[in-house]
Amino acid sequence: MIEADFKARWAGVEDSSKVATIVLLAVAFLAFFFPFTRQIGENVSGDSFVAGMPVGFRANGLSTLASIFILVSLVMCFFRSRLTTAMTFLMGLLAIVSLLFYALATRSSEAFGLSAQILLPAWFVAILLTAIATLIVILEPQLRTKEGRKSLNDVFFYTLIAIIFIYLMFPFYWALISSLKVESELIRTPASFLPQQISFQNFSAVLSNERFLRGLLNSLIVASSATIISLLIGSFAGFALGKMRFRGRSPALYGILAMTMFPQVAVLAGIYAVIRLLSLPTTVSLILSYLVFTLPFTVWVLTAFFKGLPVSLLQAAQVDGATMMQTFWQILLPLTAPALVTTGLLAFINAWNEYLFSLTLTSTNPNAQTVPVAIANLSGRVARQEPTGEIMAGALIVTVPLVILVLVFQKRIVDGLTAGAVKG
Amino acid sequence: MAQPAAATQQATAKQTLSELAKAEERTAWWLLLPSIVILVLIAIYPLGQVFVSSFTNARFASDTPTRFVGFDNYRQLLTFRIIGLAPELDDQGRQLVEDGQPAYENSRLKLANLFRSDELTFVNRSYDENGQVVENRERYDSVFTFGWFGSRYVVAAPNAAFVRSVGDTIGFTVITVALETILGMIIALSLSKRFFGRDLMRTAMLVPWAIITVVSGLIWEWMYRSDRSGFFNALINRLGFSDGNTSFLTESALQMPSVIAIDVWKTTPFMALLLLAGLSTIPKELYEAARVDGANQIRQFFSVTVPLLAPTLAVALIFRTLDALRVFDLFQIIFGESRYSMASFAQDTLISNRDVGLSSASSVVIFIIIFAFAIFYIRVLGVDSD
Repeated sequence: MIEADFKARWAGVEDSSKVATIVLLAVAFLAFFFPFTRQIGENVSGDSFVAGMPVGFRANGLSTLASIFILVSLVMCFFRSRLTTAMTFLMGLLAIVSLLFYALATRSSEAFGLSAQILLPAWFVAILLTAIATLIVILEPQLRTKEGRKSLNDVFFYTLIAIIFIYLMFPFYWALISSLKVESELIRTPASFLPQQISFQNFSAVLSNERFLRGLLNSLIVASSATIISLLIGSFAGFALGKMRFRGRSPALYGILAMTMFPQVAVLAGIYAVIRLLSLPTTVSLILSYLVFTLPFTVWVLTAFFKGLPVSLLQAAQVDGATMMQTFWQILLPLTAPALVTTGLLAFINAWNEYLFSLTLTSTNPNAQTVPVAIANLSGRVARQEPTGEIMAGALIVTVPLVILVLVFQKRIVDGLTAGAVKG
Repeated sequence: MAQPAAATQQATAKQTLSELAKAEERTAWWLLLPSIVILVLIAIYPLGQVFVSSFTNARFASDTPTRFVGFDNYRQLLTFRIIGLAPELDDQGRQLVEDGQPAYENSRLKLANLFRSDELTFVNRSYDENGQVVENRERYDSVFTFGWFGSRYVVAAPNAAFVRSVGDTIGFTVITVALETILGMIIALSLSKRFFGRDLMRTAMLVPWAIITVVSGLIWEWMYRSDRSGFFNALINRLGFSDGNTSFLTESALQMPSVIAIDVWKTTPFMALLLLAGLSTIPKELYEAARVDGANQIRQFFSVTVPLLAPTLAVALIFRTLDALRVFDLFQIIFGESRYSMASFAQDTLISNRDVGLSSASSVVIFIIIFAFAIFYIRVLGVDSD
């Protein structure tokens, strides 16, 4: 069937095209085998640069791929309309010829009066055009029907989604495999994309590192204290700003909003001075300084939540004779529990990630370092060799609980993050 | 008799009402008090302190008494000059060409010569123990060079690190926010449809956001390694684009793109989530109506999606811009003291140099720049706080 079809088509092709096809096939085969015989850009004179290109330029893999691509496109073109066939023929020819010219030019610094510097971009452009032309030729029948278009659309869509997914997850994956590799494999070139030998020695090393463990403990204490204080004080303020009428309400709101966008570095030297003045212990001063960003954020989000609660609740409570504070403690606060969880989680993550204050305030007291500072210093301390595997293991240990937390509370976090923005 | 009684009752009711309102106001301020006390202690007072010490020569652990020095700190930070560079000529008086580019004299050499011949010096005032002014001649350093209408210029400043950090931070902000908005929009539009695996994708989007910035900096630093044990070098070498020894983090032309790529990876998901939430508030009927009217997808995007998403987009832009302007963690982790962001300059001046005055002055400059951006956004985009 295919054979008959092929014969029919072949018979329909003009003689000149037949010749062109055979010649092109031969050239493509040449291009295919060319990289195996000689490294492109191979240096004769011993210079590290030939015609402006580093000698290390290796086109082997690409030119092999390209020639396969061109061959496929040539075969495919044969079964398509004459116009697209001609187009792809031209592109493929351009690609192969410029590749061969480039190879010649890098060996003799010039080929047919064109230097490698000009020919390399020409080759890339030609390859790109060939790829596009081939895609059009292959996809042409699909584009003719509605279902074809739809399924094609789906393919593109899922490819896009897959690319986004890989882009988002890849560094995490790289940290994971790096933490599982043994030291000798970590520095091996080229890097392997799968560990050859899985070892947990990095994890055991970092988990027995006293500074890292102390950092974890410090972070836990500082971040949760800052979060709890923010929630407690912030819910008072949020209640007042969200549900009460008083003069000075809107300036107070603007002030809080301005503080959520405050550059923390602008108060750094001042906070340092306050802490020296009050001679606070480092951990307490860290908690206090973290309130600079957790408190305004908490107040802002909780104000929005309190505002959203129905006024009738408040009125009903007042009719029943409850005081403002009774209403707050017994009616409104239980209702805002989900909001408190969300806000607290976000404040906790922000505090857990904080680096500027921690780095600055613990510079004289390493025992109070939080985990970001401890991990960053893990790399700096051993001058001889960076303990990369341990850093990656430590990175995973501090990240995984957070990621799990985020996954569990996914919906709420997204709601909390977007609460301010969408209503704004 | 009934009338006045009712009136009195009404008056009493009014009185109780206003008393209630007063009580409410009192309660409200009591509730706000703890927040106000804490914020005054850790934000307002320190900000005032920073402002005041930016006009002094205060230092940590220093014997010289602190004194007011006026605008000296600002003068040192913000002074810069633009100096023309002469073309390099050969024996016949033609301009030399290097790598296809016309050659100019070396900017560092030129500045060193100008310093030596006393033509370009910066007089920095300091004070000795007796309060006597000591004038130090300092040299201008090159911040960067640029071409303009066929001539070449060098931007030189006595404190090149700070001037450069301002330029770097603003460039970083503009590029990252632009890329994040475009990528975030693409991701949000893709995820706004219903499809198989959508929940998984939404979850995956939170991963870069949840990773500690310092940790993601370290992970990327590892991927950027300058030999083929690093991911990027292994990849581009395998594809045949280089010899696999590219120093992404030390070559000055690659430093900013490298650090921008990290930030884009880390914060694009955040942008996408904000935009996704905004997209979900757009009623589906509008798209149907547009379709009935014969608008294609592109037309629908510009006539329905963009205008209705504008408020969300504006708020997201503000958040991200102000956030990017105060970037600290990434620059500190990746570059340490070799290249600064505005915030890491202020921190390093405070801790390594113990120069409270200079650090405070740079903090005030940062504050003003961020404030200017905020005002600009509020004016241009008309963002309202409610």
